[in-house]
Amino acid sequence: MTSPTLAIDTHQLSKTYGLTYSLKNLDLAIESGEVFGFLGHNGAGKTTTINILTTLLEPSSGTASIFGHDIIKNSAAARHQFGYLPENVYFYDTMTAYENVEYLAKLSGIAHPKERILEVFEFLDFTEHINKRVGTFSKGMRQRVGIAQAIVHKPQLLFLDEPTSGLDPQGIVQLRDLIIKLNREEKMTIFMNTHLLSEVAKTCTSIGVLNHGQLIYKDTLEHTMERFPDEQSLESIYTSVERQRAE
Amino acid sequence: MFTHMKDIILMEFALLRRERLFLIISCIFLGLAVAASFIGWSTSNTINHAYDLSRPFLPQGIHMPANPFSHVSHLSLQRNLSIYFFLIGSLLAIVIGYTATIRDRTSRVAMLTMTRPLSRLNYVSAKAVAVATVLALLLVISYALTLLLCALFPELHLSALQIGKLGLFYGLSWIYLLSFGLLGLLSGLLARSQMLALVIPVTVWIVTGFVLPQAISGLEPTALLNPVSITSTDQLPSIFTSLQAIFGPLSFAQNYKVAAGSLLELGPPLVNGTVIVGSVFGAVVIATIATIGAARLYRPAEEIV
Repeated sequence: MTSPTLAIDTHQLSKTYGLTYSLKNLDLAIESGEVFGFLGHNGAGKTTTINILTTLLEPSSGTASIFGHDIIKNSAAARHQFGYLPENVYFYDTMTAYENVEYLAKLSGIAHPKERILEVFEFLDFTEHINKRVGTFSKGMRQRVGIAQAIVHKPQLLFLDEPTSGLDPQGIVQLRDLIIKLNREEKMTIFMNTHLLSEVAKTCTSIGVLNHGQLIYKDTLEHTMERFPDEQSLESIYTSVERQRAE
Repeated sequence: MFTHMKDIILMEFALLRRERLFLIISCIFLGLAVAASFIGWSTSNTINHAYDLSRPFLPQGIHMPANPFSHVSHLSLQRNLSIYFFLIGSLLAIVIGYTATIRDRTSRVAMLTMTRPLSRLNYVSAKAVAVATVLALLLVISYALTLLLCALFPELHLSALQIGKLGLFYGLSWIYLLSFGLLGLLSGLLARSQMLALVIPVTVWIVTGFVLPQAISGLEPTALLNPVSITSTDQLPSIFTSLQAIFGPLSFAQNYKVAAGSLLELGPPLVNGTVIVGSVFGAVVIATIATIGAARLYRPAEEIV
């Protein structure tokens, strides 16, 4: 029986395309309340992992559960538990920010979502733009709407796939503050794929490193910093972990 | 099982209302209903007028032949409707179905939608119902326009029976167009590229609407556009007799035209009515089963080029 305190629990999770492993035997346990940074080079399998955990992709083998709900056998219950912000989030451009979020909120089972949507947009400091068409928005504004749709149904877990991709420095800072706010104020567990290791150091409580579909390292950020005392930065730690693995 | 269908359907309506291509084709489609009535009225009027003008020029004692239009059914004056639905209506249906699914894939809204607690079958069924409803709505408006014009012009007046037959014709047209709508939806859902998603249903439209009718008719040009039965197989070379036996029931576009022609009182009642109507119904049944199957194959995370 999976522990309900585990936000994410995977056992031997694999995804193959033909003979190639995109993800190989992933065993991952993420506690509720963590901000988990999932690191890895391009093509390491980070997005595949998120796609499987968000039920968009079926695994080739293994099991995974979100707050105790199996993502295959009980996908509807699992979906209630999480929100998802894909890399490069898009919407119906001809609809307003409010209409887009309202649609997705209703699909999440909120029958009368108006009050909650206004609350979310206020939380994101985005109220003045809600009646504008998304087609006119910048990347940073779309990202805000993306976060609004991801948290509108009050999920316990938030998946962010490369959330800072394409954002300007100001947008990155705002997003970082928002992630911390969601974790501390809304008590959300965050699972974040990212390339920006400097952001991981500022926001995450634990990290995992994926290399060619295999998890080669996982620990808390605090232990990681203790374990690699000579390393100057997280970039160096990442390189060191990969080097140790290769040796 | 079918939760959230209403939300998906209502969103589809809202999105279509803002799609320029859909609005343009819909206006053309509805305009064609007016055009069909106008052409029918104009044809009838012109011939009657020519007949009346020619009367004084006949020499004394020569028997005046009967007006060729005096016994023509008023309903048959709407004959062009079946051709317009066959040509423009099916393209409109393809656009509606294709747009419903390809829009979600290219905008990647599908990835947001499919992480909500709803099944793929639920999503695809809702899209299919939306397509069916939009097509029905357009046909109802077209029917109302036709009835209005028939009421306004005495040359087009219809009896109660003919109004019923016209309604049946519109019902048959809905089923015919729905098969193309579902085909477009299916293609938009599964094709690897946007281009392919449009090329597949258009190819089916060309094959069923133009190639098959030509093949089974012995390459008679009348089979292409006219809502008439194919020439008797006795007069055709044996190869065409074989082609007609094999592809006749499959040629649902041709069968639609023949069934529509019969309902619009263009010719004798259907000889092979069951086969012909069954062929049109069969097309929509196949498209429905394929759509349900497509829901299982649908991969929302798959990128489209």
